[in-house]
Amino acid sequence: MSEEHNIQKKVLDKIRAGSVGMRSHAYFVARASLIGITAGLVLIFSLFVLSYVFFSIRESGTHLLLTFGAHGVATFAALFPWAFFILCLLLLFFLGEMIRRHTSAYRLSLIRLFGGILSGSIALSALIMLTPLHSSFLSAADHDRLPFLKSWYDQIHRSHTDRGIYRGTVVTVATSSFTIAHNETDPDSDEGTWTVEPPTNFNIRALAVGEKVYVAGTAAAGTIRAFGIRVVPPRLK
Amino acid sequence: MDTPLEQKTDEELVRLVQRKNETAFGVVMSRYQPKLLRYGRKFLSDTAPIEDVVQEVFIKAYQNIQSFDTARPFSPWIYRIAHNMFANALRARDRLPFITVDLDMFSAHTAYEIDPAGDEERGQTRALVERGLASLSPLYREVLVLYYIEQLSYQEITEVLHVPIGTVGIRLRRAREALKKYV
Repeated sequence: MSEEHNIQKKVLDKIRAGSVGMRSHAYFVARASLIGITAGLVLIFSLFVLSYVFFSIRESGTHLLLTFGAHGVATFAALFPWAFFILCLLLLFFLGEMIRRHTSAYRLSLIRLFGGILSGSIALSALIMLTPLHSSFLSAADHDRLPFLKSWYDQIHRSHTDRGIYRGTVVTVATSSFTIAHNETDPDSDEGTWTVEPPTNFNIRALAVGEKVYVAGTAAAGTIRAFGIRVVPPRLK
Repeated sequence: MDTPLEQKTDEELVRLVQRKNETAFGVVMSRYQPKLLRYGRKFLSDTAPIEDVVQEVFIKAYQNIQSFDTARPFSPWIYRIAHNMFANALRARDRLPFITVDLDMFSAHTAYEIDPAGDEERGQTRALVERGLASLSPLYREVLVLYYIEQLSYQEITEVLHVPIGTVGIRLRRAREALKKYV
């Protein structure tokens, strides 16, 4: 028997004997649905994590460090929630791979595909930031009413005095220094009272008692020699 | 009067197979068996028999035939299955890593079919391909086989390899350059 007929015969014999079966159309519909649902869930979770990253940076005031020069940028990099950000990138990569394998997206270059997914996710996360989603979760976590992800939101108020970052409310203003104290009414865990010696370019006369400030500097014996000070915008107070 | 099976298009035959017509599947196999055997032998660059792998390709095609959209061309679909099976065989034989990163896939530019030199150049390169194929890496070997020997278009190769059309163009160009060095 020729090689050609041999292969065909073997395959047809297996089909006729029932050892090789045809998967039903419903199987492929169910599989495609499952893949679609999984991709949707991965996308939703990725967007949640990415918007949380942006929210935590904004809410903790860490983004203000970027205006404090090279030292501030380095501290910002140290405080950046890398673990969440990397988790988000991995999820988006997984999502991209799912899309590439199960749709016609393989026709796109990887740069276009993953660039599109990343920029789309950033845009959608920015939209989520406009909603009260994370604020309400944060408020629930502060009042011990969040049954899940509480530790995520607790980190937003974590003190970073060990890295030279201080948050507090201005209690007195002198000619060349001012004093800040932790505001007991907010949930930030920056406990203590400090005298702040601002950098020479800081206009201390513009500062008012009761304003919340974000200070970066080195502290010794209750005095902070600041290299950066920002009054926290009312939105973040 | 019905057209004889042998005169039906691939897609018409597959429509029949989807309705459990085994004879139609026999005709599909007789059409594609020589092509897949040739593709497999050239791609794997192997003297070992690959009939078993081709048999598995047909079994896999039959099992998954309901997932095929008969509004689309059948040829890239079955070549895609063959590509996966041959690539698995190659990995098992050469102990290649399961996942490889192909930097060409980051390419964003568009490749325009066909090569500027046209059919005559294609014929000449085909002769080179026949002689120097074994000296190339599987990545380049496969794209040359699909284009010069199996005569697939860039678009069809995109569907078989699941890579962007620009990557097909880059691989073909690099494969030709490598081939010229060896031959």
